[in-house]
Amino acid sequence: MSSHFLKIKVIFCHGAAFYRKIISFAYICSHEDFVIFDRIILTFEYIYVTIYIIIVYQEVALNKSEKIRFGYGIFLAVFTVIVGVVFIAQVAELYYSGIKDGLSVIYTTERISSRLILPLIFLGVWIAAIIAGFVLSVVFPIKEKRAVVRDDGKTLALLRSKMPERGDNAEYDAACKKIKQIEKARICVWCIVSAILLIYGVYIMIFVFNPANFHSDRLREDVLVLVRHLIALVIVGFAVAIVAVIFEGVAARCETEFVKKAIVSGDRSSVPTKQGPEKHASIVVKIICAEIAFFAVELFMLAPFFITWILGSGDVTSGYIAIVAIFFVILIVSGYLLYKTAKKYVPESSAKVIKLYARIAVGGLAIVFIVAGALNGGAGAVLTKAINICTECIGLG
Amino acid sequence: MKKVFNWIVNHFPTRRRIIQLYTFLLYNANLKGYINGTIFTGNSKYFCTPSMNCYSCPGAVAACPLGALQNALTASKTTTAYYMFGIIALFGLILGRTICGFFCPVGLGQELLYKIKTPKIRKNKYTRTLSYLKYVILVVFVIAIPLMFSIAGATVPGFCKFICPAGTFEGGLGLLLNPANQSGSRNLLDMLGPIFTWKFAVLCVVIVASVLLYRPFCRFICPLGAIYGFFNGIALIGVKLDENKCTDCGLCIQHCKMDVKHVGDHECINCGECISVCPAKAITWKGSKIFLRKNDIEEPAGEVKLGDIRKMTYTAPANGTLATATAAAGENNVAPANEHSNIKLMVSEGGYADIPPVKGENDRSARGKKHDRNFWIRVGAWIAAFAVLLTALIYFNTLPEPEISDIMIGSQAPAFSLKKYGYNERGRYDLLDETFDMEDHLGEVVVVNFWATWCGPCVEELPEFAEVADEYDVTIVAIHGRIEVNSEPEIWVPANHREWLSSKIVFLQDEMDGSTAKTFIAYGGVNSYPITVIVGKDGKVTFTMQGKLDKSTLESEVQKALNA
Repeated sequence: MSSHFLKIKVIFCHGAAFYRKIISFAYICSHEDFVIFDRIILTFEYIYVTIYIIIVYQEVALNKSEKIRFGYGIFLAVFTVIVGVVFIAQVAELYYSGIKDGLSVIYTTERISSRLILPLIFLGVWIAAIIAGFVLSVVFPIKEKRAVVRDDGKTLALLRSKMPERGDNAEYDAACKKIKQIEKARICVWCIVSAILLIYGVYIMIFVFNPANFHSDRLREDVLVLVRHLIALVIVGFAVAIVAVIFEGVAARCETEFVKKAIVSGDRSSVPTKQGPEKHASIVVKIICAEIAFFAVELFMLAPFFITWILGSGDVTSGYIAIVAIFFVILIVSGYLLYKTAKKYVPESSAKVIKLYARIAVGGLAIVFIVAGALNGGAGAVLTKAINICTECIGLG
Repeated sequence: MKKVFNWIVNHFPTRRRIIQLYTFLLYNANLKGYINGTIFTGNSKYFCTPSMNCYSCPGAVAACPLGALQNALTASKTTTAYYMFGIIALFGLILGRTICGFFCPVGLGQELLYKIKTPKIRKNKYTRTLSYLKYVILVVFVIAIPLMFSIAGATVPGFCKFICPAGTFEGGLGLLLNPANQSGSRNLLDMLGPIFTWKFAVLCVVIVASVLLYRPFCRFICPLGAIYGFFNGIALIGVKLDENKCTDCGLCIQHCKMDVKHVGDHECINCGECISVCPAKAITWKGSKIFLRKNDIEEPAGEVKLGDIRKMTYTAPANGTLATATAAAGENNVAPANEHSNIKLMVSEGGYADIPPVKGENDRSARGKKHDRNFWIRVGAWIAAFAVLLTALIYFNTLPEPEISDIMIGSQAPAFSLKKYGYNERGRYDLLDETFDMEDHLGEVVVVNFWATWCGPCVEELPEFAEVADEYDVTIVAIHGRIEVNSEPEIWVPANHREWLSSKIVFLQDEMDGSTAKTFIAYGGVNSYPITVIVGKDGKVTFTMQGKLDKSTLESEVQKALNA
């Protein structure tokens, strides 16, 4: 990929992403009825932006990955301190203002909401950074430290002398098959655990950050309700995570046995080597996948979001319309650049991988939207409009 | 008898036709709606059908995705339309435009009309260009108009209101042609106006065009097809082309009646008719391995390209010559030659060679077992489908319905006591504990209007009601069957109509029984808004009308009631 073209694209997309973030931030600060679900959606958006920026920077600064890691580490450490300080400061302010004004008004929903919005934004970005770090370590694993110079020929001869002349191909293949099965099982378990924890996390966040669940005059009862609602989820979540860790240990030990068998059986497979498609997508394809995900989030989550914003505003000025129009223009241009890049640089063998990712992304997004719509009254609205007909809509008018 | 049997066999509907008829029956399982002239109001309308099927159709048991999407977009001021986006994305991902080819009653109707023997207009470059019109209709009528009008405080589902022939045919005519809707308080004939004339003309054009062109609505107009076309590339079910087998003969494109450029593109409705015409058997259904269709390697005397052998048995050398191919075939798991060894290999030099069959692939007993399993899967699927349809028909037609009262002029108006809307002590506009009792207003003229925020005509007529309330000594009550969830009263009164809140109109909340508004039903409402009933000083009905009421008619009727 032409690095010049890539850098131009990075600058454009990065700038466009910042523009979009500014609009999102302005929306948060200006919209009074900022419901909890909107906050969750924006948090996910922060996650995507962070992942995207990190992955793109990895491509541009391919040889500087260690410096970026170091910088990321410093950033995360400092930001964690900032999040902690902001949170503690807000809680302290809440506490002291309550003492000053009297305990009866300390836990009004308006006061808590106004205090928690600021730390929530920082918390969202911090969570995004944590997840970005995880993705960073998975997508771009830490390279081995510079190897000590050694005589590779001598090492190879030493290893060969320990291997039998003719290995047991069938046993090797069987061992490899087992290893793959165990790895698949480990991945499945972790995916399931992650999904469960994510669902629990979302549910807990929705409950905890819904001001309607907290009343000024029944603190004790509200806390008991909170505990009753959430303690089971927390316990199950911990139990599930512990089970997954135990399974991981057991599976790793089993896998080690099969790895030993594979080595002992001579490291020769009976299946002839095939000239198949690349097993792992190139870094370019990874970037494109990240961009596709980012673009999809922008289009399908933020676009209706901003439509609601502009329509929900009491006074729709030409300024608002211009801001949102520019947003959509940038989105369309980004999408076009994305399409052209994908068409030019993605080899056919990777097209299937991207198709699979696209299916998973669209399917996941569809399910999230359906759940979100059911929660925000969209399903009820469908029923309303379907059973009380608008006569003009069927031509009777 | 034999002739009849032969005729039936020769004219038996294809599997696709049967599925189309099945889905039409399933979508419109509420047969008693056609008899009673009412629409189904059950909870199954929380869900949408994958294809267009107007929810105003008396038989419809689920919502139409296009209508629901437009209605969701009209409510974008308060609620983002996540639900409908998710539903449409899910249908698109799973089925893509297979919905158009198999599950759409509108498509079925057009295909049946196309069977009429007339000269036909074949597809050409003009129809290809015209096929992009549906994207323009999608952007303008489905997205832009509902959004723009919602800023102005009006509810206008653009496509449903101005274009949709399915709504006119299934909903409009479906209700109009029932005698119960032609007189009394349910008289829909009085509501007909220029919109009905326009939409009826559109319907006629589509019907005539369907005789001359294949699926004109689907190709040129349908916005839902436009949306699902975006998902065709990633849909799980549909047709797919094997590039390795394809010889670019173009027969599939030639045979296809849609404006496709290649198999499976955004115009392809995945009807599968190209599968049978492809000489190289390069077109199959996605997921066809599940159904274990016979592949062409198993067919005796089939012509097979080198690429197939490469894929199925071994890795061919890069040069792929005949000699190396046959030599390679001989090395790997080859069964002894038998009577099935008549497969010919076509190579680039134009020559043919016999390739022994691969062990296991042409084994007759293994093939027989696979076909038996396939047969029983099919039988099971048909039985399950029939059972579902039968259950739906029985269930929907035996559900109890609320009693419909026919309010006639001169009859006693039903009494009600409903809660009022107003500003509470915290200054928010909300439902109050205060009630409005009809019995307390005996001796006054009361105009009872049933409306809904998402009903365009209702919203348009209320300002005129406010003016009449100010000018005349009359009490006007506007009763809302509030079954929206999470809507704040201060928001659902549109921003440019806040003067209603300070007008003399008394806004009330109807009493709900599940999803049924009780007072609305008691006053003869049958699922359509608005309805206006004028109650005289003696408590008897002096006027009733379904549909939008203009100011002059309202004034004259109010004056009549006041002078009576």
